[in-house]
Amino acid sequence: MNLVAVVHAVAFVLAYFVGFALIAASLSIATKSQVRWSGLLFGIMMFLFVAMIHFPGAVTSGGRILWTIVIREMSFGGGGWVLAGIAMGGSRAPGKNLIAVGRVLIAIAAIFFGVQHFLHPLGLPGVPLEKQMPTWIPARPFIDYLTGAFLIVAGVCFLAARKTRMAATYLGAWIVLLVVVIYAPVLIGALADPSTAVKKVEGLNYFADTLLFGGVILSLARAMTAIAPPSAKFTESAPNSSLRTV
Amino acid sequence: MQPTVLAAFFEFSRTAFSMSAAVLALLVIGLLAAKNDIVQARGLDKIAALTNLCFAIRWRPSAQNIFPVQNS
Repeated sequence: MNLVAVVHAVAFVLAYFVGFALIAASLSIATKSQVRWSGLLFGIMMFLFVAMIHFPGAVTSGGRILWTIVIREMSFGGGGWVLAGIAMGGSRAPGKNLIAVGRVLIAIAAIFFGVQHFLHPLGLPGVPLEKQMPTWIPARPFIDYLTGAFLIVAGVCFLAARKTRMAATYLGAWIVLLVVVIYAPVLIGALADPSTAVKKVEGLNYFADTLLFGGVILSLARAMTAIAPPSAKFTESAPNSSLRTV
Repeated sequence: MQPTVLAAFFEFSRTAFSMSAAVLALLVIGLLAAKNDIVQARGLDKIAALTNLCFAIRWRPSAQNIFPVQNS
């Protein structure tokens, strides 16, 4: 067997392996079963994808979209680690460290995406990629500016570890609302488009990726809830609160 | 049902169909798993209870790996 055939066989097996691994991770996370492993491994996989595929591509080709994908995948990996950290018990060492790393990665993504919203105010809000907002949506630039402002403010809160839970809850709720109000109609339009399968898959990708970004933000809110004592809910301004140290 | 609608339905690509079906299945599984959390949470915490569901729905790379995209 020549080398090319071996490489093709390995790539074929690897593609199926990753596919089934992701299905297993999805089921594990959905049912909250063994999330410490599925979240941790999902995060590691995302970081490997960034290191091996997205980051080299962004360095060689450059461009806003490729860097956005690098940052997005890093935040997804960070979100996976936050979930794993919650499952490990966020107030103790391994879980606490995972949540702290995830928080910083999510903060970087939020600030980067927020700035992108101000530079490209007609793109779909949330994760700023190529696709433009449909023209039927009123006040398109306003929605992008508002989302950008939310992202920057929340990102600074995450980075400074202040008011993290409140910022993550409000930003996550806003992103989920955007997914329901804007991305769901875009998805339905893509599925109804008879042109190509690629369009349908693209619609699903935008929907699922932005929903996951919302989930990543909400995971931070859950992490803060898991760490905080019940009396500390939405009262993170206490000077020595553990919320500020995570 | 009009023939054009039927045709559009049957020409739905395998990738898109598998991904849509997976999203719906995970939506149901995730909602059932999060049911108690949603009921117990108050206010905006109800949305935070959907965290795992948001993660789980991001199924697409797996479906694309198993059923590669083909232009129809």
